[in-house]
Amino acid sequence: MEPILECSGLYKNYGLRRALNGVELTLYPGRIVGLLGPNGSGKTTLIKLAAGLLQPTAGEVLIAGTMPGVQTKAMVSYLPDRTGLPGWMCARELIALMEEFYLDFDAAAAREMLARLQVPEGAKMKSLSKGTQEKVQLILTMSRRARLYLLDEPIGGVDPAARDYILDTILSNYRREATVLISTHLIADLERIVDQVVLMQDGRVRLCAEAAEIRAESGRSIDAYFREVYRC
Amino acid sequence: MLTKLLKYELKAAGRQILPLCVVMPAWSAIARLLGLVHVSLPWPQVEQLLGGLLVTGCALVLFGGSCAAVVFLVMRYYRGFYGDEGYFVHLLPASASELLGAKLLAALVWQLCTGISMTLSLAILSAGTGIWEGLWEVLGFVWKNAADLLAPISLTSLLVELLLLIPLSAVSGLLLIYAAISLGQRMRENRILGAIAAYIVLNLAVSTVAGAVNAVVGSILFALSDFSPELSLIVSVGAYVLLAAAECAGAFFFCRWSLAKKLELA
Repeated sequence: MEPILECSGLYKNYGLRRALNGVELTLYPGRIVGLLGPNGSGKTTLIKLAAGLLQPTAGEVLIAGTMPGVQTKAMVSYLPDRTGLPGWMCARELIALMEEFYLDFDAAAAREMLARLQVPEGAKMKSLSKGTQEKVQLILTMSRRARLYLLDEPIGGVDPAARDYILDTILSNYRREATVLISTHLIADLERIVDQVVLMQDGRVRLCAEAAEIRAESGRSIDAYFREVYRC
Repeated sequence: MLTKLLKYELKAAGRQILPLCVVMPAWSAIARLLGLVHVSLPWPQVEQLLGGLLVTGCALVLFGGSCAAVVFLVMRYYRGFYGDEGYFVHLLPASASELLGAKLLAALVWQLCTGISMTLSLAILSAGTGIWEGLWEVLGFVWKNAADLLAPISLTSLLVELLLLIPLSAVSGLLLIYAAISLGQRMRENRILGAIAAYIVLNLAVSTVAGAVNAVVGSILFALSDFSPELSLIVSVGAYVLLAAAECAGAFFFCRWSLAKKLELA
């Protein structure tokens, strides 16, 4: 089976500060992977490199054997940790735009999710609250039938009720051929859906293992294991 | 993909520039109408002052409107590629050339619209004053003299070169700003200051190269002018056209390289 994401000797510096320190990681299709780690461990940097928004200082990242570019953007759906949607557009216009640009975009699914989360289709993005904008962004991301979903803190800015809906949406969009890589601090919420866990620290992958294995070996939940490993 | 991107860019920039294109001629029309209304006041100085204020106000609106249009277009480049909107734009399955091309074409279209709006505003302001008739007379006189002095083929060549030079100058002006912004992004801090400094440096560099080219062309022209003054004129304008084209190509490739290979979206 061809890996969907491969990182080999991946380094990324921001000036003198090293954010990624030789990351080696391989992910295969059909998994929900939790990317966990303390602040500054390199999670967002890794996701942005895979999305093609940053260039590596050294090493390479491949998406289905291809370097991030036009081809990979058509198969990767990325949810950033900030709202990047044009403020002058409304959800209806954004759905139309996404449908035009992405062949794998499911407009009907997007409208259904908007209705379920009670997001007004005609309201401009800039008139919506931050949390609602994040919901719209997530809906647009999950409405694509992508091969790889990169979600950077998808549930950090939403209310607890919406979190459950979002996690259920991720699960319901999960297909055997798709991979979902979720970066989050809210491990307890994510624990019920992840198959695999990648723990990062100081720009390196500290552990990459099946969630069930971690629970079996440590005798505790992923959340408790994380707190133990990263205790201050 | 370029067509789709162009549609998006035209709409994005249009929401700010279209109102300006409407306000400028509308304001000129109001000023012209007010100017035609003669209100007799016991103080003629006040009447003159009001008339002067009207004209000044109009000039300020036109000047401000055209400056604002340029600022909006420059901000569109910055925000669209390096601001939060970059998280949307750079994820679209489009190449750096397509993204840049769409932004540039949309900017040129809106610059053209702004130019037409300003010309219309000036035409409205000066309607019935005889200025335009005088201008047409002067242009006709220049054309007649040029046609008498130059052979038809030379006149045509010169016209073609001038018609090429106008859009090329507009494109190179915009691309120089884009290149400066892209250069400014290479700095870790004070990126806007960096962009301003880069713009100054780029302009100096372009002026230096233009000066060197002019020196070379000047010596060729000097040699040609004895044989054919017409050819020397065509070569002179042609050199400016080539220089503008080279500026455009250089700035475009630099911006494309920056977006494709050096993107660092914070």
